[in-house]
Amino acid sequence: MNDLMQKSLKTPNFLAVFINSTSEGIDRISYLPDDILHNILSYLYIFDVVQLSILSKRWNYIWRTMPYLNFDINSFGCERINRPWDLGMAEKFKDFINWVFINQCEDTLVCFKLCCGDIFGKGAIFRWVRVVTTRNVQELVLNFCPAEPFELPYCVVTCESLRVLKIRMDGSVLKLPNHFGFHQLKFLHLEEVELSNEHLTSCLFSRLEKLILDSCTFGTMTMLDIVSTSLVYVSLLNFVDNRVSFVNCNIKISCPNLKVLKYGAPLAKDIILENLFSIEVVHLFFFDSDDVMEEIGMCVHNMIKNVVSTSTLKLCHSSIGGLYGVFHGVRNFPVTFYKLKCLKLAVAIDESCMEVMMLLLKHSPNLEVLNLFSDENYGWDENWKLHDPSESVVCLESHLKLIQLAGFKNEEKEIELLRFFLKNAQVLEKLIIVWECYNDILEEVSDEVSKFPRASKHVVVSFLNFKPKSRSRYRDNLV
Amino acid sequence: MSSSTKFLTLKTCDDKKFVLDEAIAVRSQTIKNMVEDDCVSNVIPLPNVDSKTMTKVIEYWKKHSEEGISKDMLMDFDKAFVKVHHSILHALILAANFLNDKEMLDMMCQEVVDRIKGKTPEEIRKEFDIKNDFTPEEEEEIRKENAWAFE
Repeated sequence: MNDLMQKSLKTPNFLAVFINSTSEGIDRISYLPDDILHNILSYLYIFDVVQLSILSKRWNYIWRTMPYLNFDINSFGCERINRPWDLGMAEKFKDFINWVFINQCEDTLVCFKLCCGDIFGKGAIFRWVRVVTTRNVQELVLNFCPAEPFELPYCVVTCESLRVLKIRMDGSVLKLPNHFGFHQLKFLHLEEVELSNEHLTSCLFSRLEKLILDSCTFGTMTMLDIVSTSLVYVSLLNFVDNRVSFVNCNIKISCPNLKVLKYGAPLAKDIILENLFSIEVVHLFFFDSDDVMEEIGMCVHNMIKNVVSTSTLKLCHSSIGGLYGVFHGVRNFPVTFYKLKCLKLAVAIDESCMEVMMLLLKHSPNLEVLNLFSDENYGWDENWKLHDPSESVVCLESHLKLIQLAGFKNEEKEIELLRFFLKNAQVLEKLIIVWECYNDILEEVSDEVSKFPRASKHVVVSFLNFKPKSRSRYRDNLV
Repeated sequence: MSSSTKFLTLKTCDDKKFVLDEAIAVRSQTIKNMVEDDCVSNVIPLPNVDSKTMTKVIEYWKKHSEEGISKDMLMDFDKAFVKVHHSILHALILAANFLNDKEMLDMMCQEVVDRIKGKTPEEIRKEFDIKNDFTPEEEEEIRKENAWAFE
């Protein structure tokens, strides 16, 4: 109740008047509380916020107290101003940043973002970073291209207010200090950075909860050692072709409280998972050619043995192909995923993928959701059997409620697979089939599938159209 | 929390009552804190939210709590949800702020900024009925001071 009282005191009284008002001509926006207006304007570059200072005294005040500073060289010569790029622009941008710092009230900063390419030397960046750390910045985002290895300023390491640190450096080397620091840092996001510290977490980041390494390389490092009791989320992504960097580096992840592990990169020399007692979500995506299929198989085999308690598992096509190499013809799988509820597989509807899928289904007795993304299909030999009826698949009998097949192309084997699921999944509630984007949608196919014999009385079969995703979301979907 | 469904009654400033599944209502951090601190007797008063706004908030909460709803469907819903008159948008922002639902607040703020973007100061004043309370001299001074933005 106390919270409620405090909150209502905080909101100015005059607000009540216009909540109920429906008449026009009322300036509602200016009377929003400062923190909401700041939140709204946090989506703009600071340059645009300065422009709004001319609106009224209130807006002039709002810009001077703006705790989100977002500087971007690309938007500085923005379309509206139509300022042509010239050599003087770097100087102007620098002056502008300095001017903003001078003209702001020296309040606490929530977020400082700087995107400046290669136009500034280390000195300028150090100076601004120093200013924002003294203003108790909570989130620091730097996107620049230093000409030489960049050592993180000491003031950043010791900044007690810093919660989020994101650095993108166009492939340059980032040097992290060797002494203790980052006492409150919760989220570290490094992008296009060459790492030079083997131990990313153990002592330096004692409170770190989320670590994202996107398109990072490892230089001469032979071991990336992620050991932490605080980490909850680790994502290692690399969709740029950096095989050379990965092939020479071992990756070790030993985090007893880790819940989410996403790996979307070329295969590292070795990937060692240890102590992942709390793991809930595992996504594996190997960005590799087929010639390392065997190595991928061995690696995935070792990895999944160490994530048995996961509730979601997503595997790429290469992982499944690799597992087939390891387990073909073998009936005993090394692990049983008792907690697995959701299995997502990028497959081809062919013998190898289906064999691995069936193996995983047999060893996931409590599975509730199966998502299949199929791209190319090769079908299978007439004599090959998807399933030996004498063997029981527990999840099909008692738990599997939702099956989705995306990338449906109306091929014979896909239809056979759907027939198999309808016939055997006894508690199935939903079967969703998403047409492949270039395929013609045929009503008669959905009619045919709906008439297949069903083991579950309650199942609803639906065919959906492909819905294109934006590029970034497509990428998210891979991992 | 018990597994059986628990319901909460919310009372808006215009004395309308809303009965809502607790699991949905705790999307509001404010309500969640009250529930956790055991401050909830029978009715939770929401003195800063009117019933018209609360209906919209609940519509949003229910959609975002639907089981098995896809990201695409939610995106479409959100897009349509924010396309409302300024007055409703502002009431929703204040409600989301009071109820402390960050996700909803951020979405609303994003919508306001979309309505600001790409407009000249004069167009923004007109759109939001903002009164220019600078004297011509003051305005001239601001323009000079902030010449960066206006050159």
